[in-house]
Amino acid sequence: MGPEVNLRYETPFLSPYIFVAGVTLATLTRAGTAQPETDAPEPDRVETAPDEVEQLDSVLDVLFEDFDVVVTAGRRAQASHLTGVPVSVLDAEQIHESGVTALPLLLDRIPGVHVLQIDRNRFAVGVRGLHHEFSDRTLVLVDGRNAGSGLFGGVDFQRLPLFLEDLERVEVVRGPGGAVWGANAFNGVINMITKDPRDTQGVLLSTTVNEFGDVATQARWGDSRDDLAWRVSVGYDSHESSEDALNNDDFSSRDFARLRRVNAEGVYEIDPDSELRFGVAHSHTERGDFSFLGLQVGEDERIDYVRAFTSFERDLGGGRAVSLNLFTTIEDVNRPSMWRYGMVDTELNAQYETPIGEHHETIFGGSARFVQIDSDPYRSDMLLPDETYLEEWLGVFALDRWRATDRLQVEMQGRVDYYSGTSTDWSARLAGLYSLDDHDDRVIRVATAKAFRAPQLALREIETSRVPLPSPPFPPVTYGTELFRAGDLENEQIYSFEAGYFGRYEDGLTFRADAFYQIYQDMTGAVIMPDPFAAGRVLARLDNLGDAKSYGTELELAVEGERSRVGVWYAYHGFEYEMVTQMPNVRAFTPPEHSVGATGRIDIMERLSGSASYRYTGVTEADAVGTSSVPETHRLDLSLTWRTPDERLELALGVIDLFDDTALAVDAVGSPGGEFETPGRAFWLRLQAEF
Amino acid sequence: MLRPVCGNPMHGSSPRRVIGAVALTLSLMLGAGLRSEPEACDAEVVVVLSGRSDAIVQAGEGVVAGVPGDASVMTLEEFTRDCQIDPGRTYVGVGPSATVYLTESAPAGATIGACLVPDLRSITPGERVSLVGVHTTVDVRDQLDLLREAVPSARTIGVLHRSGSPVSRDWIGRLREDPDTPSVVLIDLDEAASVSEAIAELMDEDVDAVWTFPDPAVYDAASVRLLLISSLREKVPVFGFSDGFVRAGALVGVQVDPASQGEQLGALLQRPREEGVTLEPCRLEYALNLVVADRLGLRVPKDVREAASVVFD
Repeated sequence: MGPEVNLRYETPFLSPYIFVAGVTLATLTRAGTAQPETDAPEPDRVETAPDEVEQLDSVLDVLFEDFDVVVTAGRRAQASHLTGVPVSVLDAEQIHESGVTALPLLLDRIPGVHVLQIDRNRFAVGVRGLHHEFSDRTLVLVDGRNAGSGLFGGVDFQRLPLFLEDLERVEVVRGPGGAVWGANAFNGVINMITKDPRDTQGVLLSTTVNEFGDVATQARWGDSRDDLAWRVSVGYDSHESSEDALNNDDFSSRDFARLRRVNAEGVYEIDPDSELRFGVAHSHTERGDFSFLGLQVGEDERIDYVRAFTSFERDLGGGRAVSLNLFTTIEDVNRPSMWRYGMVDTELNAQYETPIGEHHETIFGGSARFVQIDSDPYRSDMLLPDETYLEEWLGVFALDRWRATDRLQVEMQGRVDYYSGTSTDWSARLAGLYSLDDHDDRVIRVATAKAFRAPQLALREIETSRVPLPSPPFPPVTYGTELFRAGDLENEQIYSFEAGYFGRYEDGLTFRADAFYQIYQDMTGAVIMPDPFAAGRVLARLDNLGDAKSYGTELELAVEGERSRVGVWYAYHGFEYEMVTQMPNVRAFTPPEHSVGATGRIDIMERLSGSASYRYTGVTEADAVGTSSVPETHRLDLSLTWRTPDERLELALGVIDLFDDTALAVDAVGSPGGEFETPGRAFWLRLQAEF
Repeated sequence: MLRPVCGNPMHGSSPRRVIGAVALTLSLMLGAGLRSEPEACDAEVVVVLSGRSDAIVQAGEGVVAGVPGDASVMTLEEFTRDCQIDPGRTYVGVGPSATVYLTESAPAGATIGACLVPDLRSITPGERVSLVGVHTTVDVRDQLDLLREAVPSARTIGVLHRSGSPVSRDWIGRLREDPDTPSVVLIDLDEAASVSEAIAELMDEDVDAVWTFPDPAVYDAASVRLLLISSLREKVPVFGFSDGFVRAGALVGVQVDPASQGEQLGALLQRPREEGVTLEPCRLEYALNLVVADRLGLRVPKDVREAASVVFD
């Protein structure tokens, strides 16, 4: 306890104001109140001006401000509620305590993200729907670097050499992000941000096993010497096939997987203003094949994936900074029912950040990407011809945030991309953010944006004839499935009109509401052609089918206390085709109309915490991709985590899909002809040591 | 040496605090009716809240837990509507509005308690009105002592301020009054082209640490973000003025615990005192961010780590 002091203070900085207008506050606050009669003499009053009370209140406000400063939605750190596009974040704690070992199962905890599990290895992930296993309408990044395939644009999450324990957070941008990230940041962006090597020092050993015998392991070592810090993670995952996992003799399945991964990253501080980051990662995936366009060969898939990067950042002072980023992805892919190819995908991007005048923060940048794909169709019914393809992408962009007034910020973003496969196209975003108070606690956002999706090599070049039919009765060389090479495809376009509100209230309460109306043009899909033999053969060709529109809203409410945090959200998404084709098939699922989510975490005791996540997903129209519509699902995940007093050892257990409800969805969307039965409910146990 | 630290508000609740919270809740529930219970105005200690923010309510709970006798809680709006100030009772203002109202309305002989007012020295009671209060902010000297203990190498500190802001002028005045103040580099935002320019200028001065104070004219989410990013880039630790600041990325900073300050005021009201103004410094509690310490390559002394009220790691 500090010493007691008895002081009569003068008013140091308020004195010039004290004798002015102070009566107002007392008069207003006492209006209508009869003051007591008293015999005591009325004291001389030195009253405080209302302005000064407001000032004291504002000081109090800033004392209890919860500064939220870590989100990258526009190639720079921004407060999450002051971005020109809605962003939601999964942080490391949520990722860790979930207990899931496949990233897509985490992503559906975010409003506006739609995830369908197709089998035990494959997922369809999309922001605001239009998701598909090969979806390229949602751009996926790792630390801001494109993780989409150079062949088909989408992401095979399983083959990414990433470890969930190495993730700092996952940011999801809802709405077109092409002005920042270029082609295919169409419906949204998912950016997986890894931890800084300086934050992962020491040794971590972790293994998770579930009741079906699936195992996920990771060993990580991080250390530093002088200005250099690094970490190396290695891991092995094994997924049993549905047949083995369920001990079911009624069917045979080939949805097993064996994954080996290694990931090394480092950061070197060249001088106080400059940093060099670098890393290399490799994954080797072996898994069962699946039926695609009527063909399942029965041979295992083997995929080797190498990803290397180096980036240089320099702070030039005065709010100016420059960064260079070079990364390469090398793939050796053998998927017997689809294709076999080798690919080298290299991208160089650079950006320069500078203030312009007093009120503008501006970034200029550009990127160049080169993709070489060598196709090796060792079977005649594979999808890609025996050719070497070379593709180039070039892009330039400018991003500006203008603080027009103390309360109004305007974000202007523009980007032009050249793609050798199609044409030059552009993206843009214009957003206005207006704060209703002095502390940006209540912010209104209005925005409009345009982005595009470029049909990549796979969409333009694939062709196949499979499932040979007997002759007679059919003429010689007749196939049950024939996919013809596409004609000249145009880029898909999306235009969006958005409005949103963010409010931060007392008691750690935040509320966010976003509404949107999106117009799609020239959507690419499959044109199903009539069978001249009327034998039910599948004859198709990809083409620009027509337009569509979508609209909806996402509402998020979150409360964070000292020992707990709870979030609930609701999303409504409407989608309408405006096409003249007989059956719109844009290779994607339309978003379910209604989805609801709730997540909670609580410190039950000092070293024991619990978490829960519930997600309701309404009926999803399969859009002629699967066999039927996907029924509604209720998924509840629970976990308990206990740590030793020194927090070096951790034991966690939980269950994914307690209601055992998601297997039905998998059954609905799986590839026709494939046999699998993904377990829904799965109890799991994790042991983790860190020292 | 740092002063003793009271209990970590993140963990546990004392029975008195629980009782206080229940009493406060019941009082607010009653107060939400068309008319508050007249008995509430007649309690030995009447706690008047400036609003219903988390901090204000927690401080009110603390006062109720800290006084031994009968206490009631109501908002300023309810108080002005239903109650009259009786010189025989004690009234406590929580937050600026309630405190200003009570001190300006109190008749001679009344005792007014005050907490959660950023600068109690700005409040001057009338003649023969006793003002008993706990400072919300920690003395500059204690803050600088803490900074020196956490970062022993800090010889020169940088400070952002606005010469046009009375809050800045007051803090800078207090900084200059302290004879033990280390070498200080002041950067005036009013003279800089932009906040980012000012921060860049500050970092160019080779300061060993940046000290901050709660002036809303200087610090908002944007300027805090810019400062913390520069701090990590330049490896210059920041001393934050709140635990929210430390959570966001400052190395160390004072923690303002409203409940603890309310309890401290409750205890202070029970002590014999002379007429006039009795002000007591709040207990020094502080938050520490070890993740930031790692990023900065700093090793925080063990005694500083152990005495922190909140540690982010």
